Amino acid sequence: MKKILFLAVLVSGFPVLGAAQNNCTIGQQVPIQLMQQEFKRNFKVLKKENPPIYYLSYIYQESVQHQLTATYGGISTEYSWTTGDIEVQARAGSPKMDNTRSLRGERDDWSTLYSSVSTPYDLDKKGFLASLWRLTNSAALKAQENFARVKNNVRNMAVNKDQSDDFVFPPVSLFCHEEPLQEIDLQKVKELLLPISQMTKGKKTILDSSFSFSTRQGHRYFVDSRGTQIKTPFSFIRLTYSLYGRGADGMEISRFGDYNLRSMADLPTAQKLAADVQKSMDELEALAVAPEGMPDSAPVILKGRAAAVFAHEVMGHRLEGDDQKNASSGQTLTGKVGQQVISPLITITAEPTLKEFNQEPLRGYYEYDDEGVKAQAVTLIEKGILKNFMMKSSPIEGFSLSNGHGRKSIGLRAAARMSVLRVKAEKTISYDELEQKLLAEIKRQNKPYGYIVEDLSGGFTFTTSSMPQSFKLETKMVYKVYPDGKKELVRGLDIVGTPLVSFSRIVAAADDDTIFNGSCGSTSGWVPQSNISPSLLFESMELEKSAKSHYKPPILPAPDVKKEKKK
Amino acid sequence: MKYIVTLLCFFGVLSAQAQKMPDHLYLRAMRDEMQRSKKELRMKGGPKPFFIVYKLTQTEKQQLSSHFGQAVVNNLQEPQDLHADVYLYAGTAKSNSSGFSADKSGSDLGVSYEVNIPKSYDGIRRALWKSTNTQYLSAATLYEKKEAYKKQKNLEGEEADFSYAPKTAYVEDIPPFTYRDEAQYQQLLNEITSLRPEIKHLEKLVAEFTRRQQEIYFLDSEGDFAVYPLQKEFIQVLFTYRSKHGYVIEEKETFDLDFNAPLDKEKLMQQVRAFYQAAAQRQNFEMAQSYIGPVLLRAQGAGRYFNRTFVSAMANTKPLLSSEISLGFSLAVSPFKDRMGLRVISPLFDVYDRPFAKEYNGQKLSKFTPIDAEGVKPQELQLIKNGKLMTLPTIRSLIKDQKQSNGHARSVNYAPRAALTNVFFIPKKTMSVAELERLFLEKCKEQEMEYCYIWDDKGDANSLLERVYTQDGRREWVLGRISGADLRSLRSISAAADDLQVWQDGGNVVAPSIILEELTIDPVFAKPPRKPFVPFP
Repeated sequence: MKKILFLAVLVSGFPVLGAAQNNCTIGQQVPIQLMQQEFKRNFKVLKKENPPIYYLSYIYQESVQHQLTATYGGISTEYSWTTGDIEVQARAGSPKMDNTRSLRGERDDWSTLYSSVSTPYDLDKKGFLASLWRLTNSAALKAQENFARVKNNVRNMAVNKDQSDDFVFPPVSLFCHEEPLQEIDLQKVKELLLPISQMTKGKKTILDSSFSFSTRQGHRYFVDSRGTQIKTPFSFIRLTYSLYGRGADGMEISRFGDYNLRSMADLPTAQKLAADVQKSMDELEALAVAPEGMPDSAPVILKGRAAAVFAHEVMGHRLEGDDQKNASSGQTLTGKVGQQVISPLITITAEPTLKEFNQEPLRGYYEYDDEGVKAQAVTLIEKGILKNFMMKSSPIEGFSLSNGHGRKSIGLRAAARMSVLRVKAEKTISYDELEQKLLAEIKRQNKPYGYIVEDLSGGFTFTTSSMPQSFKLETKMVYKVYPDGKKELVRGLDIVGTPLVSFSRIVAAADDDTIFNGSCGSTSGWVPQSNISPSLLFESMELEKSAKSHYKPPILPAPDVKKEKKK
Repeated sequence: MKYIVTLLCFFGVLSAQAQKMPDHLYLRAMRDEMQRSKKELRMKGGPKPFFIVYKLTQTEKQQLSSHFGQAVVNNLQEPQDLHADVYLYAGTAKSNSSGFSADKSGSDLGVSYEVNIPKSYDGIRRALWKSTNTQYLSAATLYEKKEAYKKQKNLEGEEADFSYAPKTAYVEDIPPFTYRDEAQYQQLLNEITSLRPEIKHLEKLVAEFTRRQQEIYFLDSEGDFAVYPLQKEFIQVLFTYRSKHGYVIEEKETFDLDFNAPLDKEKLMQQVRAFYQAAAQRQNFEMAQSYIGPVLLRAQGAGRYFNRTFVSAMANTKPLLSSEISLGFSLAVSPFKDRMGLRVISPLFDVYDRPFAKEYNGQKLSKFTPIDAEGVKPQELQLIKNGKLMTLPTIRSLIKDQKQSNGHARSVNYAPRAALTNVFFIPKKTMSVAELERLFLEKCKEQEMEYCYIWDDKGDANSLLERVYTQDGRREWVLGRISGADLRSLRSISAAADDLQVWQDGGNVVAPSIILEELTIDPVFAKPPRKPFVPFP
């Protein structure tokens, strides 16, 4: 059904999308005019080359950024800067087979041609055009060279099972949305952070700490050889803090806090920030003396943030379209559309169109992806049944169109990547009830204890077929929970497992949807990303010892720590 | 206000009457952490910290640029950086962790550093505390490996690893960093890039203005200290074009400005015009053929040549002890180490190192060094007299027949090693540049050469050279590669002009135009990229 619907769109002649939120005239935007001007001149020649450059796209991204970091009552970094980046991508060959095809047995070239240019652009039109020309020439040469590699690879290597085309032309869009940049008052941030940064002074456990505020705001312009012209805004304002320590056995311990803001008005109050930092400091002190956990298999609750990271690493990456086509990928879910792949309790969606959740801005929100395709909300797994994948403009078997998930950082090609990944449960209970269910599960399995994972720092997963299809989640705060409800903080445990088994063992979910806002790094670079999940109860999970440093804490205590009297 | 205080010490006992350290937040934090480290930093069963150095560098700068006549990426607010370098020797004066590497790449000789240090007393102390701890652990390990190596190689009883030096202090007022008028300088850059050289296939043209002040704060565990600024202001103009052969050629020129004086715009624009005109004349160059014969190096070319040969070879006069057989190039011992009294360069030259020099003949020198990396006051050295090697730069770890360091310990990324600072190549007999060129042509004729080459440091790996025909004196530009510039070639300098200039590109050399009796020029091997698909917009 989906396939037929997508084909219907294809033959309808690329409808113009996205007029709803226009608040400016795209044709009047100077960068668009300049890009169009240089673009036409080049494409006219390049499409007649051998091999032809059959598709060309330009991105111009201008941004204003601020960075301020306070530590121990002083400012360690403070700067503001503007940047302008031009990027050119060329496709040589034809949509059936082009230079972007993943090579079998060779390393893929993910890089694109980009350069910093004048900002503001209207002061330097000649320089802007010259940069575009230089980059277009290089991008065309590179595309032709890579196309020769692809042809050679196809001739010499075994045939890929998925014979889908390498590219599908994105629908033509004309869209213009601009937003005034939020005013940033760094003085106000300083007044907030400087006194707070002194809170960690004199604490023996805290070896290092930092309090940072960063912003990146601006607009992205996109044009391509099909006629698409897009301008969209972006805004990321963030306040974070991190505390680091080291146990006597060398184990590194840390706590982290973050606040994603819509504007300066969302800055936490000094009282709120101080209370959060105090809590993190207490947690770090507790971690420093907590016993080291031992490998185990037991019932586990992943609390909201931890569950969100779990969903991202364990299932999210396997729902990216590229994973299904690339012969070197593990292809955990390839060919399983319509099949029950995880617990029927769980639905997973990709919602790049979701701008905020519980009044917190979502970093994974965008209007158009990095290939100029309108962002679409997609149900990936419904009640445990696989329905769809996150797609860029490179078809895979059964899915011929992009659903607006082609994402990348400047300087790299787009890959199908996550945006706002949401885990939803068909049936939820309160968190307290979830804990009661954990206790019941511990007793039912006759285990001495189970675990509650409060927080994760991150994790990784292998998706290439040369590695086991496993994942590892690095925990920060883990509690052992005894059948009588008693909790004991432990440290040095990571969660490991394989995706299909782990997701099938979800037995209950709470009604406490929580956000993990972050950035994800992969072949197409670092992209801002959000994950939302309720706390999840797993019938069983495997925990193993974390890697730890062999270094002792410093010989002398920090200079601001009072010397302990010898007993 | 500047003052230098150097007090002598006798029998290894330092005078207590040292210059009073200025009351400054950074120095206070350095002094307090130094005292704590000296008093309390001990590893059970390990060697003691013997000598510790703290150096804080605060950098402030203003940068503007222009690209094809208009402003490029401009910072709204300039970044500041406070950076700390810490190094430490563990052991004793007789034997400590210095001068030894157990790693082929010398990674165990590294300096510990912290960047982006908060400008607060606690922040600075914490940064120093962390780096001191890291350095101590590394120095203690190195010390133990070194002791084992010395036993294995029967090296016990060699010269002491550390010699005492007179106590020194240097304090120079550091003015607050001031910004140039942004609008005025942006306009200046725009004028420079609007002017444009008359070059047919110009692809890129950038002018960048940099004004930078570094505040240096130095303290060692013997109480030697220094506080001084390093200031620099310049405009760099860079452009690229595609030659008729298809090569992309980069031309670059740096114009030094006076940090403390108003801009002399007329003079600067004249210099820029001259640079553009000279570059335009070079654009229709031909390709060089293989050549062996006399080459005239103009002052800038001579500066680079001396830096690559003589100055590099003067580093590391004390060989590193190593458990690794072959140390990398940058760690290799100076080939001049055992050539004292021998003629290593043409007798035409006396060579000096002047660490205190800030300029030569109105041209700025950027490596002013009032205290060396081991807290010793640097001495001006006459390295060469009539072409013969007279002395070597030394550090506190002495070489045979030397009594004390001459203050030439330099530390860039690595723990201190001997190196030069501002190197002056003074010819004893000179002539005008025109006379030098006449002499050069006569030499070429004598050798029955059809043509000879003149090099003026244009380009690096591939250079633009002037080919001068001996018959009619006709000149043309060619693209080629210089090779064969080794230490032996220093002896074949046969004449020098009176046009001494400062060359700065990673080093500081003052040198005149010279004639080298023999040098090799090779053709360029790399093929040019294909012609662009579409002409320049």
